Amino acid sequence: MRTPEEAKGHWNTQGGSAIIAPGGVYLQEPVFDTETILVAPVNLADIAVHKWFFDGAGHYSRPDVFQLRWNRDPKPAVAQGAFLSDES
Amino acid sequence: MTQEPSIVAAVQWSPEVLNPTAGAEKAAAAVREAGAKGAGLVVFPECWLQGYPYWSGLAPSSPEYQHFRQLSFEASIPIDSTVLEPVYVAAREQGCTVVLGLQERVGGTLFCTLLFIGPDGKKMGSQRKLVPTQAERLVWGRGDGSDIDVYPTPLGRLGGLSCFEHQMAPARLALCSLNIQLHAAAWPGHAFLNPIIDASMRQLAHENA
Repeated sequence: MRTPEEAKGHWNTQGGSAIIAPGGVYLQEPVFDTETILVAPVNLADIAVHKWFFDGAGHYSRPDVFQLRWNRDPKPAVAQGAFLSDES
Repeated sequence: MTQEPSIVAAVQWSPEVLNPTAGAEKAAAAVREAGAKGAGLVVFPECWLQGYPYWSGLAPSSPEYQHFRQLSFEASIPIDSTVLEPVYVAAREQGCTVVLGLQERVGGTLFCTLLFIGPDGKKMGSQRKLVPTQAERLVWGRGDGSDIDVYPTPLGRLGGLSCFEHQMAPARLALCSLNIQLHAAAWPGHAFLNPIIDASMRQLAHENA
């Protein structure tokens, strides 16, 4: 392992930040070995054409075949309150 | 009718390792610099506030690992910590929505958490990473999935995921079902991830458009 002095000037990891448009085209290609703030303009109107082709939670879903169940309940390790009754 | 384009920003700055107070000041500076470039949304990498715990790749039995583990625990913060105040102030000042990766402490458990801050400088929500990867499993607990959400912002409907949550198809579909328009993808830097991130983030941009 390098000492802090030896580590000066070395990147621990290289980065790779990027900005991507709907459809998968890079607006900012991945950037490595530099500190920077990438910016890019985004236009929500660009989304529509891609949804026309594919909407995974809409017209391109087949809930009769595959359906996702998402348990959004909070799940505390300790639940306070009375025990649930066996009697209905 | 076409909308006026908005500007989004991705911050690639070195973190203030294991120093959340300095990290929050640095995050605020990044928000100001991004705001000066016209950005309305500013996204930070995974666990950026204290730095991603690369030390978790050391041998757990080693003194170095145990030293970093202790520092990492002490550098973790509750989500409502006042340490974060400079980031909220900067967000409000710049009118920026911010997504910040940080290490959250809840009692005796640490989480890899994404914090969503609105342009009014208030927390919109936060979500804890569902499943830590490999060596992260000795550092972080698991989010319970109740906090995954998509938030209305001036730029559009915003959500996000961390790292290999992007490889969890149900997580991607959950965000799709909430009509996400802007996706903050928080990753650490790791050379082996580069082709995975390239492929899966460009896929996501089509899959969840």
